[in-house]
Amino acid sequence: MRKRIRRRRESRKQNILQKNAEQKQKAHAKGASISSDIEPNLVYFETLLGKERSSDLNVRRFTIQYTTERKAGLIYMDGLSFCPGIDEFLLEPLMLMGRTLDVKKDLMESVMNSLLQHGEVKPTDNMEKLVDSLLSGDVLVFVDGYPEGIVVGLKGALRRGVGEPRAEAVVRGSREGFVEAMRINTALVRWRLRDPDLRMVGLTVGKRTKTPATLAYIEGVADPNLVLEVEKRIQAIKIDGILESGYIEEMIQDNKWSVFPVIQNTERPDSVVAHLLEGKVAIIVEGTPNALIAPAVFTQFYYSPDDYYDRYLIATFMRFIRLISFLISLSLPALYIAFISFHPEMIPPKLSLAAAAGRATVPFPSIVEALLMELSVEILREASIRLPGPIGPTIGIVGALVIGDAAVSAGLVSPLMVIVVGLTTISSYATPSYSAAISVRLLRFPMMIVAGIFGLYGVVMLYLLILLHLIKLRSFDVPYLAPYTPLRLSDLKDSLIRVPWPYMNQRPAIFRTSNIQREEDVKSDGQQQQ
Amino acid sequence: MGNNNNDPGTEGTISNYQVHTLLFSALVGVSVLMMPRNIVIASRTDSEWVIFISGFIVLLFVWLIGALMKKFPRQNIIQFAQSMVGKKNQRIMARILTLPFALALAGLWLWMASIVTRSFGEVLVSFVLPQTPIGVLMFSIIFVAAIVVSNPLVIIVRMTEFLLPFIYITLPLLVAGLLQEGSALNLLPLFQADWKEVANGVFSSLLSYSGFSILFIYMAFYQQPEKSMRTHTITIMVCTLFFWFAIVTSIGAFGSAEIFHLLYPPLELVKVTSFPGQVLDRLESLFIAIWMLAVFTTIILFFGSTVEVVMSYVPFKEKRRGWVTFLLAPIFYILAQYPSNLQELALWSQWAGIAEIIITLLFVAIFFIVWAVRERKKGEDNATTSPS
Amino acid sequence: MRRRHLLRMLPIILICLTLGGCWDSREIEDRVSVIATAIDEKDKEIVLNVQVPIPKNVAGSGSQGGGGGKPVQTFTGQGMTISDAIDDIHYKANQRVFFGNNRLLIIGESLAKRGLSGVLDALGRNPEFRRREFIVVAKGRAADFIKAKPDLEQVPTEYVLTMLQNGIRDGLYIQEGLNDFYIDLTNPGNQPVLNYMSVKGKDVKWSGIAVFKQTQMKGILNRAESRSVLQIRGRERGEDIDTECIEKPGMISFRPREVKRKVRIDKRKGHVVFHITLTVKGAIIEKTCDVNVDNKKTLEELSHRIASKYEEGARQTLKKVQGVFRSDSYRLGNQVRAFHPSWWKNMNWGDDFAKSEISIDYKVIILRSGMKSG
Repeated sequence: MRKRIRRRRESRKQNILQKNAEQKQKAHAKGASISSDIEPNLVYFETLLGKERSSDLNVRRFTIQYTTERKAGLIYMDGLSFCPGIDEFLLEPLMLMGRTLDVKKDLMESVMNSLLQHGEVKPTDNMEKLVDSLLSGDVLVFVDGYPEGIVVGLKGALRRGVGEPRAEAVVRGSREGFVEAMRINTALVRWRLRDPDLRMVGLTVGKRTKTPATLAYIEGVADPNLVLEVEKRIQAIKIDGILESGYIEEMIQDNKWSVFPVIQNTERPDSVVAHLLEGKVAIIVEGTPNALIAPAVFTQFYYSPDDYYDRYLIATFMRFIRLISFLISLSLPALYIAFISFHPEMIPPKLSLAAAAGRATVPFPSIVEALLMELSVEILREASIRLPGPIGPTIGIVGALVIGDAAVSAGLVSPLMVIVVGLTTISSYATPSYSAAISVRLLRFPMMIVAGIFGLYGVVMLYLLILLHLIKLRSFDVPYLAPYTPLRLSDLKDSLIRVPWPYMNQRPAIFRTSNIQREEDVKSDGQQQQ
Repeated sequence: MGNNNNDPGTEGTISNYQVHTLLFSALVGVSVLMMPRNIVIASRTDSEWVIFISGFIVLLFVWLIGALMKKFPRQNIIQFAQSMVGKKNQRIMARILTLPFALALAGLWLWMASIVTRSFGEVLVSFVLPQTPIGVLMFSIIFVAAIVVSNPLVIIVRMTEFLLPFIYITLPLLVAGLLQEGSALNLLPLFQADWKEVANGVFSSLLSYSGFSILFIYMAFYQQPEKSMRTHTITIMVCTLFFWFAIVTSIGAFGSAEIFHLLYPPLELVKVTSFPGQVLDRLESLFIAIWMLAVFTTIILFFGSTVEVVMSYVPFKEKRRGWVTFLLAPIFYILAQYPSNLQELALWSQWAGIAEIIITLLFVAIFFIVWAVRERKKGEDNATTSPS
Repeated sequence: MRRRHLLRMLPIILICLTLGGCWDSREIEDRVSVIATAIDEKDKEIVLNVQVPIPKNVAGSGSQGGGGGKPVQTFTGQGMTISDAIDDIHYKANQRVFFGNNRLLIIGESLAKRGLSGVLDALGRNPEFRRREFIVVAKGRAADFIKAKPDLEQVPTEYVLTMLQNGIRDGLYIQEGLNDFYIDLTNPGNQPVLNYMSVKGKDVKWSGIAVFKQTQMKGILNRAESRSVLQIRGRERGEDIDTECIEKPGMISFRPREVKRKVRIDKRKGHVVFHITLTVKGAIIEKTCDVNVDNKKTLEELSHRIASKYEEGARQTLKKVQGVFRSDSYRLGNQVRAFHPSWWKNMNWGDDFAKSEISIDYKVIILRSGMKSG
């Protein structure tokens, strides 16, 4: 019985698919090129998008009062285009002002010149281009008798306004963050970098989503090979849809299996500009409030924009703090296990007494205890992201406090372990970049496991393996651990220590910039252009 | 050592600073723990200056190797041996003639790596993990080393580059120990040893420098072979100073008599040092962790050069490197397991040191002679052909 | 591609290791963590008493309030050797006895007099014992120390340890831990000494230093006698000294702050001659007589008196050390070894120390006389 239903359902599906395909094929066959007759063109779009089943498709047929009544059509996607503008700047002139036109002149030319009152107006006879423009929010205008369509760039989908970057907060510095609209994002960059050499290469990725992306770089600063390589890799992407810059990131990165991020993502326009000035390239993707920056080195994920805005000593101090918190978040639970179950002689006697007392009621070995606690913290962290709006942080804190306290008083974990877990979790949030922080959180688990097997020795061995991986890792041919290994003394100015700005007059050499001097840059460029 | 204008990211070459880290890591390994005892037994407080003599001798060896290798830029010893012996149509002949060289070098380095690994295991077993079978410890370290060594040599060198600064961290630890426990009186008297004691001291410390012969392989990858002499000299000096430091701090803290009874004087020194604030009750955990890095770099350098010898003797494809490594690893493990106790191990490491010196001198001599003969022949050929 | 193979292998290896591994893994609460060890002899056998704090009873560290029961437990083991005695304890304890946190070694007087070579060898070979340990000789049985119960600290050992640490820092006790003891043993120019402590009921008292010749304890120097040894050996300041007032009844107390030592070595008729000059700087801290200490002349007079008092004590001690113990507790031989190696080669310091001539001179400088004038 059920089988029969399934079969019937299957055959129905096949039928529909076949019908749709036939229709589309018919439309294609007819409208592969634009006919001078208007109706087939409009019908073509109606069939292509499935008029009955695409409620947001708007096809308006009207007449232009020229010498005679000339049929015309206007197509747009409801919601993607700026509707009041269509009425005011397109339909009103087209319908009412036809008579005012000079009869001697060509209708099409007149329409373009005086009736379409908008800045971006392009006639084209390429059907594919028309379809793409329609779907990205442009308005198409057809006039009977002319085998071409006019694309009017009246994109006007409602978008979130520019807001504060949520994941990359700074104390001092710009409060603007990227939004989903790529054009706003590129504007945010261009507005900060008024350099005629700034290039924004438009690319389209994704067979179905046809997501526009922008490859930004500064000509004369970024390594041309790097730009070519990035462009090549983006163009080589074979995927049906790009919903977030993360898709592109994974498609173009060098080592696809690495835990560590080799391409940085940021939602701060100022940070993008800073990286562009260092000779890197940025990729801004439509629909994503995160821009990608490539190449990226390991240390870059531990630098925050405020490092460059605050005074150098404070910045240096903060970087030391972040280094310490990186080490804590990677290895503190592992060290706890190693010390508690392998080398108790290494803890001061009073502390070891306290640790022993705290653990007296704990039924598990320290490795299980640590894994348990770390896992529950991860669950809390994940849950507090998913929890709706304002209650998220509350639940997170309450959960941690209540569960931690209850676990200690129930004798399930030792108080020391709660301190360790708390410190570890807090430390991991000291990393400015979320993607780097999360990979360290992940590595903590193998760290704990080897500590549970070999103690301190295991921790050192795993550190060595991680180091090996980091050394082998490359991001667009830049060694991931640069400038530390291979050592670049000149680049150490902006490493753990950030020297004052007047002394950072050179761009980092590791990114193979075409112009190493920061301040001579403008001068020489000016000469070039004259 | 400084910076160089060449691109440091260039694949397959070793920058000057990396030369420093590589040579330093090869020389300073387990030996830094044992050397103070060995040399003090031979020449007591006079070790404080005797070490400089052996440093100088090692410098001579390194100079010799450097001079030879410079004649054949971008080629390691096996490659130029093969190219020297036979012309292109005599491959098999070349193979057979160079076999003893390849065997001797690969065997020596594998042997040295196994000795280092075993000593490392012994320290771990006696200080850190007393219950863990030494076989497991050595297995794990050989396993990790093999993973590293299955990469190109340049990656190995970059490991040493990253880890070297951490090895320098041990210096302040030793100074702290000296300041807390030491007494200047222990360093005296000087110049009391007769020439025999001095010779013994030089000899025993010379063996602790073992590892310089890997330059036979690594020099082929130098970015600037012409500048290598300077870097080598500086490195040997730094290394000698490092050893000197270990010796002086040990003698200063314990006196030469007590060192007789200590297996690993620097380690003991760190053990008696207390850390202000009592964060770590026993500093030796930190010291051993750092020292583990030093030993590990030594092991990967030796093992890496062994693999490289095999790779260039039988020109395997680069992607076979992993195979070669994991095929050699069991031999490595068996060699490391072989000595039955610490005493035998000490004897082994002495022999290995002697063997290294002999092989170095012998090879340098042979290749220089062959090279000179060939040059002369070439000259003669030119002389005979040009007039006609 | 190879990377993926490794990635696939890694979990398998990890699992293998977890199945067979964790040899050294032993949780902190599963170890009987010894904090002090007392070693005695009884009928030619070693008696070992170890003090183990009970974590949950030590206040402040327990999760459930704590402070209830007794804070420490004592285990006793007996055997022909130290290891034998430790094994004996192993059979009595429910968990493995662990000496990694041991901080104090107490040696019974009778054992010390018989010789410590066996004990020291066992301690030196065992990696669990650290060289930084404190070691003292107990008057009577060392086991009594373990059983002493001072009120100030819950764990009795903590009390003794703090006492030792403070005493050493103030320059009142001799600074000689296990490490120094080892070094003094091997260096033929030195002889070890140890702090000598006694216990009576709740009270632990420092009662001088035990003088060793090699591993064998030769005797004791009491508080007053040990003063000059402390000053010459380690340049420690030693305890306060009282001296009679000038011409008037009453006493004056002097507290040394800083000691400088100068040793001049000569050779006369085959014997080594030491001229030791000690410069002691300090302050007057109390006076019970009617003398004006603001007067420069009086101060000079006073410092001479203090110096001669020092010298007298030093001479008596020297007589005892050189004549009775015949052991170089001053570490003078080390100076000969360092500065006159040619003499040292032909000497047997163990015997020659008693024959050498030693003169000790004191120079006292009174820096100030407290908050009051007059």
